[in-house]
Amino acid sequence: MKQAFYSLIDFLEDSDFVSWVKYPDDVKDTYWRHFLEQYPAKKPVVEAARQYVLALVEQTGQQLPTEAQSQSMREVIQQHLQDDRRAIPFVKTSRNNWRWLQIAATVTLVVGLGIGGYWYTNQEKPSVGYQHFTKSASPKTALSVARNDDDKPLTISLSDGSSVVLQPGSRLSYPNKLKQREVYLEGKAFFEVVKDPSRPFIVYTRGVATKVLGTSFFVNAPASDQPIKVAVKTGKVAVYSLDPDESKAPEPTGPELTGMVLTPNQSAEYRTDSHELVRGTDTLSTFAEPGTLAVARQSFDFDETPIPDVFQTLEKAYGVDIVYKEPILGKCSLSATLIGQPFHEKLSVICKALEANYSIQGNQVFITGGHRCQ
Amino acid sequence: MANLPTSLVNASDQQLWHYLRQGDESAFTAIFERYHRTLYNYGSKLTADSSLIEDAIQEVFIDIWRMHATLSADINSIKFYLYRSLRRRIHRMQEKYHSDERIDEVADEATTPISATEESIQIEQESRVLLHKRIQELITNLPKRQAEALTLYYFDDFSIHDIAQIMDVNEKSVRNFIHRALTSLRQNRNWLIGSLLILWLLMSL
Repeated sequence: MKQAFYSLIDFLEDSDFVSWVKYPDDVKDTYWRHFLEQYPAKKPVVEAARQYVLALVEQTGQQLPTEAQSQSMREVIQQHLQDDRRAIPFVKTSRNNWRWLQIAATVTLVVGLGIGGYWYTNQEKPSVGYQHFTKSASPKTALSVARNDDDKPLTISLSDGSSVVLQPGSRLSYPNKLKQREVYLEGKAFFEVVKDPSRPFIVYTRGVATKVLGTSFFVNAPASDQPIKVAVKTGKVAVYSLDPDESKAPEPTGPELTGMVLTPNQSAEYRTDSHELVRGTDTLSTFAEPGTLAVARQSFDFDETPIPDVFQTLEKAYGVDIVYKEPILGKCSLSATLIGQPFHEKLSVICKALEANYSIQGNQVFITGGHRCQ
Repeated sequence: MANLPTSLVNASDQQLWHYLRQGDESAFTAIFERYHRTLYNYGSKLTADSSLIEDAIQEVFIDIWRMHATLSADINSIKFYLYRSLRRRIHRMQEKYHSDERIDEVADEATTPISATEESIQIEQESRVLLHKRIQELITNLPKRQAEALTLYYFDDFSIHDIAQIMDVNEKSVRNFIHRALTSLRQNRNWLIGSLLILWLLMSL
């Protein structure tokens, strides 16, 4: 046994020895008992080394925080989590966190882009749209990336109250705090944007920027070389080409609507090869295309609709499970037009009507309270 | 933060990591509760500024939460990850990462090993209280990186390999840090016995 020649320091440096002193068990006890039987002269060194290890363990671990310090760290972290929560997809929350629900006017926007591997991280050179996006975002702002690898839509609540429903295979980059309301999209998504004329909401995509002022629209561009389509559902948007050659092109960040302006049932198409932005004819067919998100096709127009049907519509549109007490709310019904409202606002309106509350955990929505309907 | 469901208190680090990556806040809380105290203890070996330690710990955890979706799936040890993050964070906050470290390392490399025979002559039992007091004094007076290595090795149960990665040095340096610290512990002991003897002589006069 090598330990036969050990000095005190050798024992202290031996991780097996330290482990025996700190966490003795039968196997280790047997080993060291055997060792001491063979080398009884080592007994005093081993005993001294044991005491040293115990003292070292205790004395190197003397600076634990006080409970007050722990509590203060907890609170600071908790505060940050709450600040972030609005921008993080479906973190556990309670209804009273959503103060922005008072904002009424919203804009609905659908942007679809080619999913064929055209993402800035996969490329040597980031797309023009991504360059614009990162240029305008303040360098201090941390970016989050949400990607939907599931086969269901993924709903993201942004800090300004807008919600984005990401189609499977799509990704969205957004600043953690939306000072400028600017996001970058790869793939297809449906935007329900809170109206704020002083801060336009801009969706950057590969070759175009779409500015939302007071309307909703739809964009679709399949593979990387195929055209990008923008179509309006409600409200009003402006679409800009981000082609680098067109240095004269208006900047999308200005307050005015200088790009191609689209109103409901109007659409635009950006041709990647010719860098041309042309006006389309038919929006409705764009929304009806297979593979378009259910949320984009929905009108959310409920008229004496039974609550189970209302919840089912929301579940399908936003990719969530809604948990509620069927015996209590099952016979209730709802009359409301919720088109264009962000997800949380829809839930808020429904819960107000039911005198219920909601909370969200993961992708589950829990409805509590409410009264039995006859 | 949310109260912990009992199932998570006993969950393995791997399970907690898995849930954290899915955005489970209670797993995040469980990790904080499991490690923030020993992290603080470790941080106190890096800086004496307790508010800096608290800030650094908070930032490490806030970052983990913000990045939970992009965290690597095959992380071997949450603990290792946290310690290394905390160390980097504290050094960055002090902005003196490069200035004093190099010199320190050279000094610590020069080690004279103590031979076993010379040492084994004087193994006496000393009182537990005295030993603890001595080690406590030693640790506060050791060069920072020796105290850091001792803490990671004895209190935090890290292997030499892990300590080397946490401290950003090679394994030989880590062994040297520990060896030098233990050596001064022995030397300091002889000095202390000597001074106690003098004290006793003085008092008996």
